[in-house]
Amino acid sequence: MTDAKQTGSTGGAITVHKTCCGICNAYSHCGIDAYVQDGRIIRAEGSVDNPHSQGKLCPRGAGIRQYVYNPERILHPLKRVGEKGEGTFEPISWEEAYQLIADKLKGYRADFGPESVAFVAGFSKWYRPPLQRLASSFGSPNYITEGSCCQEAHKMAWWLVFGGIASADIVNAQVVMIWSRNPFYSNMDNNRAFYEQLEKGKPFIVVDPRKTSFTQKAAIHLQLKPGTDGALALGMANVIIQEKLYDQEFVEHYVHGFEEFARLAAEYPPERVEQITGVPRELFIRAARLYAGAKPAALLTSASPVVHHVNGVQNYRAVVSLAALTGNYDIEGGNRVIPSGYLLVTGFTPSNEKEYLGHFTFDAPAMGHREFPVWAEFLPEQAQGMLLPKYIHEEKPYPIKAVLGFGMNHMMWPDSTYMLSALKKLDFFVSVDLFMTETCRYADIVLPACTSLERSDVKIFADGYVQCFPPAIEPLGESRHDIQIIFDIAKALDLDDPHLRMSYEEYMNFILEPTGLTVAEIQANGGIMRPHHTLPPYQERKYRDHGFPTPTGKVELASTVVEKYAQEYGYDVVPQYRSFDEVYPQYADRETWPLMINTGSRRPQYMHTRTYRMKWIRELEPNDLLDLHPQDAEKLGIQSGDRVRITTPSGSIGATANVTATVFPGVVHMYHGNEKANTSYLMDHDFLDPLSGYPGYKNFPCRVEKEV
Amino acid sequence: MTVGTIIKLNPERCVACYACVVACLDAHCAVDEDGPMLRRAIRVETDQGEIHCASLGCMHCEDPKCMAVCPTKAIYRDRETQLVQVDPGKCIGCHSCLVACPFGAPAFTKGNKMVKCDGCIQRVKEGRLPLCVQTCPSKALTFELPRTGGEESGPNP
Repeated sequence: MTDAKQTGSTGGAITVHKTCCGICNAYSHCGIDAYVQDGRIIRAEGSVDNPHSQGKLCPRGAGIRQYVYNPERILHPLKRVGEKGEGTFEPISWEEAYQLIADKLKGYRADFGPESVAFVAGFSKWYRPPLQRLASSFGSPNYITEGSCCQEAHKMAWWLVFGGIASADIVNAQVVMIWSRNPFYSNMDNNRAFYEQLEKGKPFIVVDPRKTSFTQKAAIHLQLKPGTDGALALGMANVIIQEKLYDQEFVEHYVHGFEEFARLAAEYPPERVEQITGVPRELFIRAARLYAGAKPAALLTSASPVVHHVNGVQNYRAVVSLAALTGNYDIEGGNRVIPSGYLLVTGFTPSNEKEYLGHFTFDAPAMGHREFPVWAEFLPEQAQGMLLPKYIHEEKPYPIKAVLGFGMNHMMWPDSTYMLSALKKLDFFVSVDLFMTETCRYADIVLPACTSLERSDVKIFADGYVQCFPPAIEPLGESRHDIQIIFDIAKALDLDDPHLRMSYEEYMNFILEPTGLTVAEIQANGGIMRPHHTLPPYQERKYRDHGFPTPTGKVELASTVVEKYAQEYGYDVVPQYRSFDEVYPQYADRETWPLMINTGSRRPQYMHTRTYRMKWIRELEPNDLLDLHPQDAEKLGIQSGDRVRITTPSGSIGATANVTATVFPGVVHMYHGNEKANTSYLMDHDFLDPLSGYPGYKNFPCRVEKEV
Repeated sequence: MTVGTIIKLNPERCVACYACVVACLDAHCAVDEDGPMLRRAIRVETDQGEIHCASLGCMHCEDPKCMAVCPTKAIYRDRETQLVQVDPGKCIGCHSCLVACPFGAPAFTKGNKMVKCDGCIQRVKEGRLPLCVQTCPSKALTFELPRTGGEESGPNP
């Protein structure tokens, strides 16, 4: 044990640099005081004077030194010399790397068309506008983000019903219904605010297949079998309609398809819903009455849990329809329509992101646009990247020859066997990353990125603050920040695009322009301040003047967008509930597969794959736990701590049993993102929601055995 | 907690997120060191799946049991801050303090000297909060010096 101050006494002067974390999403990115000595961070703590984060940090941010100075950080551009997957590389210069990349990409564009090159952004959002612009300018429609399996399908459900998502106004709501989210482990910077509401006695209804620290504080916890959300929502809708608890004036004036929806809901009487979902009828009837009886009431949905199901978008359409029935859309205390700003953060601070991206058209359709036509309408600027390994393997309808990936991790895709063999087959793969991941080991060229503490970066927060600190330290080794790498590659490709020929500071100032701020002004004011210009403040019920941005101009409980493709693609126009084995009957064999696996929940110390390399974090808890209910454990003769094997129709991995009554009987649960117990091996690559292309991570059949 | 302490835990707010644990490690360890861990976060489940969480380390009791049992008076209370401190020179490694502590806080170095949370005494003297308290995303940990009329002190709102 060393006291930083004691070690400090032997070295140079210690200076405190204001900076920020970048490990989780752009809503948080908490302020950090980095204590720097001789160019190295010797301590890090939350910045108490940062008005956005107020000194608090989560465990990832608190341990950020082990992220920055991780032994697995990539410090030099590397070229593969061994077999793919083996991880043998030799250093090359940046110039050599850029030249090689430019020569290869130009070659594929000439021989196979620009669409044969895919540009992939992993979880990070901060470099996405330049990466999208690079793909567009290069001519490829195949710009892919982690939105291919996170948050976009959930927004698609809102978009199909209302024409756009609306945020829960928790503070002003009388009742809050949280549909499948653990707020305490999701965006932890909101924990204090949630406690304020709970301690005031505000009633929360929480739908969650697991018991969590949050569900036990809820007025009503609806613990459902994973993937049965649609049936539960339709059951609640039925109660609301039968008991005439819905907002009749709103429905009459603003809703399209109410009759059809009501007929669908009537197929879900309480007995049937109880049988499908496992939730006692008196509980969800009470929840329906509580949510519909209060006005305003807010509905807090979540990015992935419900839509990680092969009927996920339909299930979430049924859920958000509850906000339509009750007229809680676009009102204070209900769900408010708030502008989506820079890097997907909602709020009233403008940016030039859209102007930066511009508008492009391409000759070839993006990957997934023909397979998932509703996705193509909803998110025309992004490919549905879950098909990436399929396009690589099958070369149909056109081949993918090269991938330029930034923070791309193969574990995002279901069926790692399939994905890794696709990366092996790929002609040319460039991986830009912080750490030497398993994915990087399949790359031809690996480029070292740097962390948020080694760069400057504009943040526009939901609370209105705009933040941009200078780098706290120089980038480690030869690492560079992603946007610099994107601009350098654009130059090597001779792309004559002024938006890619900017300096980084020019880029940031371009984005900031509508705020009236510049990087220089923000940094002269300590790195965080309010903008000079904001968008007009929130106004309720904008639909009264403008209608809803849907084809009918109304709330669509029966979707006219889905209707266009219903016949050809077999889609349901009203949000019918379907179980996973109704959508994919090949998995209906419950004798071979008596259990169900649910993956992908958050833990506070992990952010997908990214903090497993930090020793302080990794050693806090066992990382390969398979949660199973005591009833199932008893049947299988398994005790906590036993080595077990979980097998699905797709694959098999080892795990450590954790017997816990927090999971539903018949359902086992594992966390994702761990290279050493990778749950993606368990999932089938074809097991996708036909509407969104999202993998069914929350609901796949399995069996569990004790290892001998 | 029924024991009066300077670092206070509201177990109703703790979710065992480990922010306090890692903040404490960062404060005391070089980047490649692992401890000893002076703060732990625990999560206990009942047979029905009810979850109880706590962040535990030295809570700096108003009436420290460890201090009372220490045969060499190696444990003492800092006069200025009231934080409970250890003089490793006087510690004989008898572990009486560990037996007495309701929070299981004392740890021992390889040389069998007791080591525990010092309450970030240097920070407190500078008018700042202990790091675990400052970092806690749920405000489950708070810091109250005795004889300040129960008001929370320190600069953090």
